[in-house]
Amino acid sequence: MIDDEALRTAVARAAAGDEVAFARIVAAHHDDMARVAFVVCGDVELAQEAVQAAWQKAWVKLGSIRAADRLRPWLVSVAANEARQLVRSRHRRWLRETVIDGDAEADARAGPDPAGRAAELDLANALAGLDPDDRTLIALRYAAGLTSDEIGRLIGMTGGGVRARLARLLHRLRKELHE
Amino acid sequence: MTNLPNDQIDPYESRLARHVGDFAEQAVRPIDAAAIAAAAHAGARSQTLAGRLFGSSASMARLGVVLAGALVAVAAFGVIAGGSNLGQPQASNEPVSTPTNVPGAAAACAAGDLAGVITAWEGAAGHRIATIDIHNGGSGQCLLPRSMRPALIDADGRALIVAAGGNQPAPLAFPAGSYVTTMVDMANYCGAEPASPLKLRLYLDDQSSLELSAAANLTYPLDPPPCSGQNAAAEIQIQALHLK
Repeated sequence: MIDDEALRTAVARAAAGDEVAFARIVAAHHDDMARVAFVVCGDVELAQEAVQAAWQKAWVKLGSIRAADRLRPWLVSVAANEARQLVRSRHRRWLRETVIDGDAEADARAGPDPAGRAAELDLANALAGLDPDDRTLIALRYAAGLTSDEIGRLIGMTGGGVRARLARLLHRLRKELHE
Repeated sequence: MTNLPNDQIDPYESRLARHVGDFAEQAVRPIDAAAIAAAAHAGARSQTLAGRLFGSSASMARLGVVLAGALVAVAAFGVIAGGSNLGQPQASNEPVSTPTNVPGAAAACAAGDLAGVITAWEGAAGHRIATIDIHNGGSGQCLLPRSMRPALIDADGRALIVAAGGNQPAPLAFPAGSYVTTMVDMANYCGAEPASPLKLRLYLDDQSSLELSAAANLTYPLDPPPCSGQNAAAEIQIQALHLK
């Protein structure tokens, strides 16, 4: 993991057009952006496409980031927005491939316990029923771990507004996941 | 895995965060950060005008990748053509580059052009270490990730251990007809008895993959790494590939 000082240096150099420095930022943040984009769009390939588009935006606008600690929240929110736009522009339903047998990687990820697969599918179905804006909130909060104030700054809401909306979403998801 | 921020909204949050974190993990893939940066740079350049004309930045990102490839191809052609107008000598105090190697001019290796075998399978301190060779059977040089995401699979293709996504250094230029080699280290498989024979699967950047079986001269069976603890994660790691 890139440390804060190295990150500040990399951001400054990348903003000046240094492709190697930009690659260091990509290496540090790409996975977080992919996780967030995936929760928003529900498709691994689409998520990767969204993240590539987000990096393109980041290349252009990186100079606008004044504080290094704002970089990660900004990058994941750009990825979330790109994923949301991709879903909307293609009129795609948020849909996961729900292969019950033969998905070896999913089997390996969930472990020997079939309950792991079932829980994953339940969550996928619950997310599929949400509006893309709500999935963005869920992604920024629970895939990226942002505070409600950080999310509020990124999406133009107050922290209190974010908390209230998340509370409603939590109630709904808890009910749908029977937890 | 994500840490929940400290401004808790509801006690249920920690549980949901675990679910979402586990769920989102499947989106993580091995990447080539340098290639992504180069594509972003190329795409951003082309977007200054064309992006306004042609639409979303996602489509422009794809265009950026295509343009990056085209630019590299044109550069390579210019170097090869040599005597064309593009190659006219210019007055410069800069050192003249030698037109012998154009990194990136080759395309990414296709799984169908690659064939690999496991040449050794050794045990040490609860680990299994496979030595592998991969051959480029394609017609030309291609670019191979130096560190491909590995998975240990059984005879039915079921993944026993899959590496988490990770970053990759710049790709390796892999000439046609040549071989690369490396080692894959595995540990702590605690699952059910797998169907033999075991194999390794390696993923390319486009998520296609190649499977490696034991070489014909390997007389001993490939066994999974022993279980060292149910509470610890299984591991599989690959070292960087290098030309033989």
